[in-house]
Amino acid sequence: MKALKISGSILGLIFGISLLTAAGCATKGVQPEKLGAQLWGENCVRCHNAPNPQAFSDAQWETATMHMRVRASLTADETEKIVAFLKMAN
Amino acid sequence: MKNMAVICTCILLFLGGGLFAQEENELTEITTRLNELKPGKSRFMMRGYAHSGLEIYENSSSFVGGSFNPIFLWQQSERLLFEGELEVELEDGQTVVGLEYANISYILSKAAILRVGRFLLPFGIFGDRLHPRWINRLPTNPLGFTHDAQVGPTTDMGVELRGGMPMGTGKINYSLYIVNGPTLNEGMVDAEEGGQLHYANYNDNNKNKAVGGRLGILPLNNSSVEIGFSGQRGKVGDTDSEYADVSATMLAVDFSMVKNLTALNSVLDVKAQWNQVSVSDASYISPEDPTGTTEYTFENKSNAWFARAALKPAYVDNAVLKNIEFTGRYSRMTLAEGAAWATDQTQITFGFNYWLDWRTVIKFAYQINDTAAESDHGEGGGRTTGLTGGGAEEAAGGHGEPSGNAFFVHWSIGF
Amino acid sequence: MKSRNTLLLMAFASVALLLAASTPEEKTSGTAAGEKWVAPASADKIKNPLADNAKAWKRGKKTYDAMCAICHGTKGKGDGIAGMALKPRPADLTSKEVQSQSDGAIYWKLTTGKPPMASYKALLKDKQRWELVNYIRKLKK
Repeated sequence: MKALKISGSILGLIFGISLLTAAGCATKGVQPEKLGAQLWGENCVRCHNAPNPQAFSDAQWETATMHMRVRASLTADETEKIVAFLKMAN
Repeated sequence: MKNMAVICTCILLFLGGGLFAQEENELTEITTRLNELKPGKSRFMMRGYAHSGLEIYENSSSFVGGSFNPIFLWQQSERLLFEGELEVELEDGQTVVGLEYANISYILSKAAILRVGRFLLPFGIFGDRLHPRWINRLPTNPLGFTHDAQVGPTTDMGVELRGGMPMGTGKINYSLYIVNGPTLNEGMVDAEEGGQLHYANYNDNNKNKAVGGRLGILPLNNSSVEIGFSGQRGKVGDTDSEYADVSATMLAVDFSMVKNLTALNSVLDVKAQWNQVSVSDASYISPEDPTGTTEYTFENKSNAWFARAALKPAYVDNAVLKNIEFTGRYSRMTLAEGAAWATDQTQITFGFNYWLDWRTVIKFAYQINDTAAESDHGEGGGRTTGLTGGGAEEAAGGHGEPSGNAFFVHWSIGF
Repeated sequence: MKSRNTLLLMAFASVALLLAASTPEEKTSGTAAGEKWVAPASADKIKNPLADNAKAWKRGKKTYDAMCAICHGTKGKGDGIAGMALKPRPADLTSKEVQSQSDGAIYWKLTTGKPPMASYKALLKDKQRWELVNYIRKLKK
């Protein structure tokens, strides 16, 4: 019975998230206006020091940033801008 | 004269043409060479981290070999990523290689990533994000967050859906997963361990899968604060055993904040997490009865939490001080009161770090361990205390004895 | 026993710190003695086309807040959160060292870049870069 309740609430959560996703797309928050440099600084320091852009090549940054998109749940928009910044600044 | 002029012009044109042709050839060659170097769509990258150090206990001290954790990243396309981490450690003179995780992520859409395999569970933030040695600001893991004494899961096998998206002026991120889940130690082999959970199992002991997830909220526009709520639930007993219906419900709350304190010319980094594991009531063989026929029961609920702060005076003028970071952590672990393995421990760890660059650090720390309440079952309690000493390596503390206080000097590097 | 350990650790800590503090990396720090980032003499001759524009810095501030503040700090003191572990550290734009340079030299530096400082030649229009120069002047102590 309890398991059912949990499953129910998780399904509800999925539904809620889908709704939020839709809402997120519709209402353009302040986040999308930010630039790569700022997003790089703000997001990396959530866990570790902001990396020196010179640490990796353009191709390596693509892989490293994708890894962090998964691990730190960066948004798609943030990931794209951070990669662009790192490639420019390395 | 006129003829001469014509001839000169012809020669110049010829030479000019020749020069132009030569430039064109060079350009073609450079382009060809550059194309040879162009990276392919599939990318391979090795990252990871390593650490070692010196640990000084009350009656002994030891240089510890530490560990070396290579992370293999294989990006097949813009949507597909494989990540695998090994942990290579020295343990009792032997090289031990462990598989931390190995999984495939597939980007389904802007806000959804599917992950399958063995992965770090986003049950709170310590296991998922903060445990790598160059990210964890202290040389040790908090009580209840070590390989030896775990309150709450860190890795498991299964399927996960996760992602992040903007919301209002902030962001949210989520994860939902189905995994094998922990298994229950029925105490058949060692009665003193009856009721404990074993995490990170490669094979499940029942048909029931554990379901869990985390919701992270970043209310501020600059991503500096995050509050997370995690939960996981599933049956833990063996199918067909008397424990078949025993289940575990786990909860976690985490907090993260990174703030620039302009007045102090410093950056403050605060991280905290609280875990609770409740296993439904069941009877286990009493370790006090040598015949093994008496059963006993207890409220199988364990807690672990920590709060850690790091203050880095990064913007002061002093060349040494600006690379230093002061650290402090409090952690407490309370294991099932009334159980043979019950314990109530607190730990205070404090020290400072010296950052050589953004991913290389030397950590100095002093750790004070305190075991408050021994279990009613006496010896059993002491045993668990030893297991959960909290020393990073337990090289000197050893299993079976409380680790006591200790100094740590560790260096760690991320790459 | 304990006090001996303490002493041992203290000694070790001091030695390690001294060693760490004298690593060659320190010498590349922009503000420390050693190799400095100097714009070529030709840069000093570039004329600031917005020199007489009293309002250009306002647009420069917008660009600064969005792109530069994360490292150089909201007030230009080199105390942005992303810069805290970079080598060299981001320059303190309010300092005499920066402010004594010509408009042309500052323009040249933010156009050219020197990692970890990015080049903004492609990302910002010529005019935007001069607006930034005007705003950096406003940051003077």
